[in-house]
Order: sequence, then structure tokens, then C-alpha cells
Amino acid sequence: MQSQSDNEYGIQVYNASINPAPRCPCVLLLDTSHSMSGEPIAELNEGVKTYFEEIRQDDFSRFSVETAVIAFGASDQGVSLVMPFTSCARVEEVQPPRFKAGGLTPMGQALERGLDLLKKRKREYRAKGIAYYQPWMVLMTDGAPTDQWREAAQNVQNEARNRKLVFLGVGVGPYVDMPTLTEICPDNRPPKRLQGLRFCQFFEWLSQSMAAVSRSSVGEQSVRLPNIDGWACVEA
Amino acid sequence: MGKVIYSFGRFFGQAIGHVKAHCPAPGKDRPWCDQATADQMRGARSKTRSEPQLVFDRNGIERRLGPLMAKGGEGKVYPLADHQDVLVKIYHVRARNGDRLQTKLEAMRQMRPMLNSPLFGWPRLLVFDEAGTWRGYAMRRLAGVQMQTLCQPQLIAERLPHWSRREILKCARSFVSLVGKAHRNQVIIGDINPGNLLVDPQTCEVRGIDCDSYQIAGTTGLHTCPVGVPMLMAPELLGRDYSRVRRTFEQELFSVAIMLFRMFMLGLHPYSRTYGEDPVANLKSGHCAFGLGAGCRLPRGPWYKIWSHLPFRLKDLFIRTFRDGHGDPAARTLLEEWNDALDEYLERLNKGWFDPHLVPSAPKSSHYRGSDSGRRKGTASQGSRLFRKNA
Repeated sequence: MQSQSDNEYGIQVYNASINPAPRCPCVLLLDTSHSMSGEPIAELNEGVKTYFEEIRQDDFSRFSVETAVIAFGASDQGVSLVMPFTSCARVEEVQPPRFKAGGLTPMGQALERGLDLLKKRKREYRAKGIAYYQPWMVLMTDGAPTDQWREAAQNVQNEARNRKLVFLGVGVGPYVDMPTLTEICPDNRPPKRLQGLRFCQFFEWLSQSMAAVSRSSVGEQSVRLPNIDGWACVEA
Repeated sequence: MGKVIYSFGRFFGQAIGHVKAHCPAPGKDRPWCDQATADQMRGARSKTRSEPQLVFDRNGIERRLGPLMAKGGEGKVYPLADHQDVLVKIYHVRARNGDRLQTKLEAMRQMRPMLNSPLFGWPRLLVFDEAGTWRGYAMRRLAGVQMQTLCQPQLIAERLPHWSRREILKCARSFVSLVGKAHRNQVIIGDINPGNLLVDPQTCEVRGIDCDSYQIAGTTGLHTCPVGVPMLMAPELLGRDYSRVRRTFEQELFSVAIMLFRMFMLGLHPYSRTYGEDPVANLKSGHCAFGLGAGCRLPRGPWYKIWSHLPFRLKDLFIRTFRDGHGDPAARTLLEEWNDALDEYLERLNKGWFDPHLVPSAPKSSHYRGSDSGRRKGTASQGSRLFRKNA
């Protein structure tokens, strides 16, 4: 413990209630279904780890970005909240989640869960007087939904159209159902296809985008995001 | 009258020699400088493409650039390989904006009082590539942590653990004189924000960087400030095309008040409020939670405790700017008024009349002991009337 004489009048203990930074909520919806087994899931784990490392090294995103992780697939539960909204403000405390592959691809449920999570979070922000940026939601999948997804997709698109959500769909591997993913994604932001297993590059880009957002001003119309060449396929 | 600097030779002969004598290399006597550099480095972590290696002055004298230090929307910043105290900003092609920006920088270099001030990273010398195409400018490197550090209590705890309210006050005072220095030279900073200001952790001096965006009235006419952060902008400027607006001193005074407020309130934005819109929307509509009749919509946190310990006079200046000054630019607090109020606060703080804690343990009550307790009684009741605690 720090002695009083070191810091008599200063600030000693981190307290989330004295974080005045506007927040940028980001929900990761990650496909951990059976088809992700082996190398893909290992790369995904590595990528998510990279993401949190990058976020906590940046003075702005460390206090602004709050990430929640939902895995769909893996085990009988179908959709599980692997990590509730977490900031990296307390550097030593964040444990990036690790995933195991297995089960089906309940993408629709995952989308609903993500939207619900964001709605609650925004309500909390408003109640506490915390400013926030347009939330982000990232959907990564290597297959096709095995449940009802159209209604959820409609909700995603409504939110995106009203500038209440930045939605990003990323297809992985040769068997991803890109036409369905395209239908889920808002028209102005069609899905991207990951080059090979470049999860780490993708998550590095995501953390840099978050850093750009958390440097911007709340209410700013557009934020220049980094180049996606490092991870996205050039679609023919 | 000193001559305008056209070559690296003169740059080093005059400016750098002088700076070097006072500013030792980063890391030794200025441990914080490493942090500032590290901050900037983080913004620059992405992969390097083909980076420029050499830059030339007007006489064709070449200098080698060091590794990329920072990058932003308009360009990249490098130190010179053999003179770490000189930074070179290279613009992206799209940011060069015809020859208008070059003309502006030429005009800036002629402004001796600004050029010679140690408070600004003022453009000193235009730089060119091998083909003689204009690419950017050279400036002195300034030391300090980003003002952003003061806007995040956790960063204060990590990087400025020795700071108390006294340091914040000195810093606020220095910031007001920085803006005053600019205004006396008909310069408007325009884009006042916590990323464009550096703070010296030892002396609390505030310094201005990214000066190429400042609005100046030079020999070649008015050069506007094309950028701005909505969260720190006067309401009448929101949504305008900044590059086409001639900014006024009154507009700057609004930004000054927001920046000062955030310094005293550890980063809290004056237009934050519960169940409201975001700060920018509140700023636009004038819904400020501070002041009479605002419905106590204060964000959750220790903010009331901090606010209640500020002197009444200072709070009054804030409220005047954010409420009356919202629609009436003439009502915004003047730099001289801030100066007087801050000097008075510092004097009284030094006498032990005010709580030096960054986060006082309790809101100030009428029982708060101090040698002017009679006066403070009135202050406290005024304060709580203006700003009641959010239950």
C-alpha cells in the first residue's frame, strides 16, 4: 500500500465511479461451433488476447472501451455470455476469455442477446450520466445460422440505420454462408471475409479502430478507421 | 529583429542550441518525456510502409529523419535522426491543400513572438523532398505529458502521484496565460483539446502543440483553423465547416472554460448529466447540470464533493459561461477574469483556506474550518444551492 506521505492529496485508489471518459461499448459475437475446432479456435483465442493487450496499452481506449464477449456454439448452452462488459482501466485485472469449439451455430440467438446487452448497458450509462459513443457489435462466424435469425437481423439493421450501432460481420474459412451474413449486415457495411486465419490481424485492427473512436469526440459524425488490408480478403 | 529562418543551419544555430542548453535529452533529467513520447508512439504503432528518409530545407541541405514518432489524420511526425529535439511533420498528400497551407506556414514563421515563445511548438522551417516538393515543416520538440492525463483520475494516480489541487491550479493558470499569449498576437488556438496541450509535471507549465491548425491573421490574410473537437466547441460553431469560419475570441473563451472545468473536475465534462443526451447534444441545447434550476442531473461519482470545494467566485465564472454565455458570447468569462479568480484561489489555497485534495473526502459544509470561515459559510450555502448532490 502506498504511504500517505507519497501522495497526501492525490488520488490513490482506482474507482470506476471516477472515470469521466465517454465509453465505447463493444460486443463480440464469436462463433465457437464445432467447425471451429483445431487451428481456427486456437487462432481466435490468440486474437482475442491480442485485442485486450492492445486496448489496455492505449491511454484512451483503456478507459473508454468496454468489451462484452458472447460465444455461440460450444457446449449445450448454445449462447453464453463469456465476459460481461469489461474495461481495461485496471490493467492487471483483465483475463481474456478462452474458447473451446463444439455444438451448433445459434447465430440469431447470439444477435438478440448482444442487442439486449447493449440496450441494458446504454440504459445504465444514461442513468449514471456517462457519455457514450455509438456502440460496436462484431459478428465472426465460419458457418451458417442453425436457428431463426431474420428478426434479429432486422433489429440489427434498424439500429445501424438509426446510427445507434456500428455492426461488422466477418466471415471465416471456406464454409461460411456469406449470402446470409450479407443479409444480416446493414447495407452500408457489407460483411468482410477474413484472409485465412488472420484473427490476430483482425483484432489488432479492431483495437486500433476502438482507439480511434475513443480519441474522437462524442457526437462526431465520422471517425477515420485504419486500413483493413491486413486481414480482409479483396472480394471479387 | 531576428531574421526568418530558412535553413537547418540557422535553425540549429539559434533555436536548437538555445533549447538544448535548457532541455537535456529525454530520459535523464526529464523522465516524463519518455512517457509523452510513448503516448505518441502508441498512436503510431501500425505497420510502417515506405517512410521518407530524408528531408531538405530551402537551400537543399538534407537531414535524415528518425523513426516515426506519431501519426494523425493530417500527417506523420518524426524526430531528426541527429537532433532529437527537432520534430518534422510530413503531411499526407491530401492534407497539403494546394498551396494554401504552405502559405499559412510561411506566414506563421514570420510571427516572431510566437516563434520565439518556448510555450508553442511553432512551425519554424518548411521542409521539402528530393524533388523540391514541399512536404511539411520542422518545429521544436516540447516536453510534457498530454493534458489528457489530467482528464483521467487513474492516469493522474499513475503518472502524477505527487499532484494536489495546487498543481492543478498552477496548471490552469499557465493554460490561461498560454491562451493570452496567443490572443495578444492575434492568434486563436481554435482546436483547444486535451490532446493538443502538454503539461510539465514539475513546473505545471502548459505548452501548445499542433500549432499548424491555429487561426492566424498573417501578412497573407486570414488563415482559419480547419479542425475542432465538438466536445470543446462554442455552441454556435457546432455543425459548421470549421475551415470556413473566422473564429472569434469569444468562441475561444467558451473552449477555455470547458478545458478549465475539466482540469478542475478531473476530466468531467460540464455538459454531462444523467438521463440527458450526450455532452455534445447537451452543449448544443445548453442543458448544463451546473447551476440553479438544472434539476440536479449530476453524473454519479465524487463530482459534487469536488465542485463544492471550489471557490464560489470560480464556480460563478463557470456557470456564467455555460449558462449565460451559451447564447450570449459577450457573457463568457474573459481571460483576465480567470486570471484574477485563479490567483485568488491559489493564494487562499496556500493559506490553507481550501482543501488541497484532488478528491476531497466529503462535500464542503458550513462547518468546514478555515481562517475565513465566516465568509466560507456563505460560500457553502451558495454552492449547495447552485449544485445539489445527486441522490
